[in-house]
Amino acid sequence: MSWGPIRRLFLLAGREPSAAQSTDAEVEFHLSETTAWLIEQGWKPDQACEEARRQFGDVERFRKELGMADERVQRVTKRGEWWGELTRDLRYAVRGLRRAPAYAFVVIATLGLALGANATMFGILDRLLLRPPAHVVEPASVKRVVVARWFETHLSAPWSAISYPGFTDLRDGTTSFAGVAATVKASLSLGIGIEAKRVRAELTTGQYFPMLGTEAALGRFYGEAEAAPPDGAAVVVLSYPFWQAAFAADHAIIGRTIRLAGRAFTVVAVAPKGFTGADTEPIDLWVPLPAVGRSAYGRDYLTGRNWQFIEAFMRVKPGVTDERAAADATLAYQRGHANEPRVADQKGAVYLRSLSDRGSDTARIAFWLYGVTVIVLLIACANVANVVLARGLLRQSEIAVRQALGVRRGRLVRQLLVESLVLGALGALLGVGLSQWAGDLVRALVFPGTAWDAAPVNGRVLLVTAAATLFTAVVAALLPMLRTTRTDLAAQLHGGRGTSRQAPALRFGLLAVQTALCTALVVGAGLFVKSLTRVRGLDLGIDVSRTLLVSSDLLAAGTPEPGVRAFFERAVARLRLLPGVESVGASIGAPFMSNYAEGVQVPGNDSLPRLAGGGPYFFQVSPGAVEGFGMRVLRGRSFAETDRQGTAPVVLVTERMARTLWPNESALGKCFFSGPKGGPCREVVGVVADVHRQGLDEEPFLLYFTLIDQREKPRFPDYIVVRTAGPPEELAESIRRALLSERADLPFVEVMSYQRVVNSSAQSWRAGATMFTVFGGLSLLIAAIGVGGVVSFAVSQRAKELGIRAALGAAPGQLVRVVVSSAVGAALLGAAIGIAFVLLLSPRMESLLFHTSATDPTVLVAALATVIALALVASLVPGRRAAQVDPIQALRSD
Amino acid sequence: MPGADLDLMRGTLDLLVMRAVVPKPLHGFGIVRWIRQATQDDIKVEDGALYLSLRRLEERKLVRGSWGITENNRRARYYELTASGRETLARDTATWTAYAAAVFRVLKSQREAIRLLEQLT
Repeated sequence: MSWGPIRRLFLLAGREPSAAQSTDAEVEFHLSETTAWLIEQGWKPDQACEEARRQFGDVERFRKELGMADERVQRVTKRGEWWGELTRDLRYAVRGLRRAPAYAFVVIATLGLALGANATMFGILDRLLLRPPAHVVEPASVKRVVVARWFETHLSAPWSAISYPGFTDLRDGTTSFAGVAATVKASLSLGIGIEAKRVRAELTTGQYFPMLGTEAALGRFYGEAEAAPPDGAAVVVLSYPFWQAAFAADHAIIGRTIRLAGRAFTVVAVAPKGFTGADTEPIDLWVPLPAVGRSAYGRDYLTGRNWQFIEAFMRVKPGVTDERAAADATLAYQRGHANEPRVADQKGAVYLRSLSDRGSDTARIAFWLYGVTVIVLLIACANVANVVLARGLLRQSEIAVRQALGVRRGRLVRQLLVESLVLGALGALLGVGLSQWAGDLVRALVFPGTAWDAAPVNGRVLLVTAAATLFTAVVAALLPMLRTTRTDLAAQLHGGRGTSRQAPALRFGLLAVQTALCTALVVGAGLFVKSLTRVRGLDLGIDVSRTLLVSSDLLAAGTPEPGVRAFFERAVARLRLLPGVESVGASIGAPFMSNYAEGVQVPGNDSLPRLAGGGPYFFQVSPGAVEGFGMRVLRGRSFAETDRQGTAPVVLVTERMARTLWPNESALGKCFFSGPKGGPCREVVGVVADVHRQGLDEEPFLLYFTLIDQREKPRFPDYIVVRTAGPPEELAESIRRALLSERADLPFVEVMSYQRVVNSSAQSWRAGATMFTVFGGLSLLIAAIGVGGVVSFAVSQRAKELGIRAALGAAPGQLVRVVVSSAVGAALLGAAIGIAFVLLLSPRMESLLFHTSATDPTVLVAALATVIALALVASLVPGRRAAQVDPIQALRSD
Repeated sequence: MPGADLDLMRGTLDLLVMRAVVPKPLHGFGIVRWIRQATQDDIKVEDGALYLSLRRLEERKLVRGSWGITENNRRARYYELTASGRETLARDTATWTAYAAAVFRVLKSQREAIRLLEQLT
């Protein structure tokens, strides 16, 4: 019997022959048919054969030409057929999904959430870690300078702050660099009085723009001439967004003057869109450092090597290796500091960091969080795989029928691939949509302090998402689908459950993997939350909750120093009268803001003990500031109004300084020399609780407090510290008004709540805690859906068995246990593996945590309990249905 | 066949081949037989040229070839008109008939033909 008609009926053509085979076969067929026909017409067989060839023409030539033509034709038709089949498969897939909306919803939602999280974090990571700042020409050769200092026995971790002379050493003493520039980020006051605004400025040296290679969007950048010390020129470059926001993108802005820090600055250029200098923080404007330097940083900043407050960037010359350049820079730096009394810089080592290497905790956390979203994606994959497997069982008879009809496995696989890609693509679409929305949210809430120039979703994000989608579609949908194509046809067609025995084991494994990853994430969330709690519970030595820091850069605005001092005195007196204010004082430097270091000689002690955190550091304050900061005096007394210029000089020391210098006796009544030689010995009148100097995580250091008025050459204060009776933010406006009533032409009066200052230091832990919790929650949700799904599937699959058990007298509890046990078992196993995974990975995470061990037992136990509780709840909810199985119904069905 | 007529002949042949497969799909041999019969063997063309014509049409997606089974249970490649083949055939048939009619009108009167020959010689 011929299969032809049947094949034709089902449109199942046999395998297409190759082009050459096809040509030959056709020619042979033609010749033999012609011969047969000729014989029919009365030709002799051998003559007929010859005649057939004659009629055909030059057989070999035609064969060749036909062969070539056939190859062309086949290529074209193959492509056409491929597209045709693809559209057929697509239509088939979409139809299938519409028939199973619940299945499609679960899969697409799960993938969407996971892909969305992934895309969002990749977008952030891309900006923070992978992409160099915009508009920097050949960013790879521009380096950030960091210097490791020599501390007695070892080099410190490098940091970026250096002094202005340190920068000129690098600029003038090296040969490996095509450009060297320095910058300081500062906030300046735009306008004066009531209308004054604070702007984020970057103060730069002359080579900054030429070194970066950036072209101005409007006008021309300033260069060496305008930035020449000592005073430079009063010119300003506006950032693109600031130009748009503050000057309505006015093209006539070039040449106009704006009042900056109390003086008139000429606008010379507008930077291109997206340009934020060598960093990614948002900047409003750029001015030459010398133009505001002397007024903002005092007369000595150009020469003082102790004034380490600027960052340097250098462009390595083409052809020079980074190692050689760094060695060159180190040599120049050490030569420059050769005559310094402090060894730290004399033996300092210069390292060159790439611009995209932000090295910040935020960037590192973003990196971890991206890893976390990959884990979320894996959990989602496991989940989807489970759902697809479950559905695969239901579809086995359909697939078996198609296979029996002769649909080749390859064809079937392609169809399944298309179906999984459709699912993946829909998930990705949802994910990208989510990311577009969540990206802005996450950027604003979790990662402030970065100039997010573009939309959250860009080409690179889409590319990565596409790759992730492809991976997901193949791993989560295609592989499990493939299992269903390998089934026992006969068993399926005879109506039995041809379920391969391995399927439950696979589902069990997937569940375990899912729970393991989920446990790891929950532990991560726990660790960060604990870190954040530790940070919040930290004793900073000051009371941040009710303290405000008030500042106004009067000096930069052109007020001479005595005038500034006088104003601060009046301001302190004025604020003391303000209702709601408990205490007020002035200070030079403040914890978390800036601080000073100076040599100290203790009578009877030849050398001071060295602490890991260095020092001694000091803050200069006025009486009242100690109370203003909310510092706790442990022994002795605080500064009093009676301690003034001319009276006996007094100091307060921290608990640690007291214990370090006078280990076995009371520090009270002791004295030490500080400041210029020949000064008086300052008496310790009080010991205060240890105060943090500039960060939350600090090594022990020496710290003391002196009175501004009791210095040889009293400087002017830079902060007024106000302690409020109630919530501090409420007082900000009345403080601002009070000060403006004291002097109407004040530059912008900044009133910062200390809480906010400290919060920004806790930023990285907060980001970690928030995002880990969000992703941990997301993974719990996805895992719960997964566990619940598996159990609910087991209930429906095993209805018959449950019915028999019920009929044989099994108690409801036993029935529930039957369907729940394997899921809960998998969850338990997974949780255990997850904990092991955490223990393996945690040492790498420890540096991101705050005073929290990565193997913190309470966190581990809590995470374990959460995951197990969740697994129980998620499996019991659908599992209860097992107890309600009606034996009669169950046995009748099927 | 003289070379000068090649293009004209090719076009004509393509037209005839398309016409051959209008009623039902045919294999190459079937098309040859149909053309021989329809033209009463007046158009003498090598069978190979006919296959080349089929390839041209296939490339232009005017006909579509696919393997099938003959009544004698042999595998043969069948050709059928595609939708655009149908359209092209209709259009070209109209053009051809109009063209041929015009040529025929000019050449049909004997006197006209003689005058022409006289002018040419």
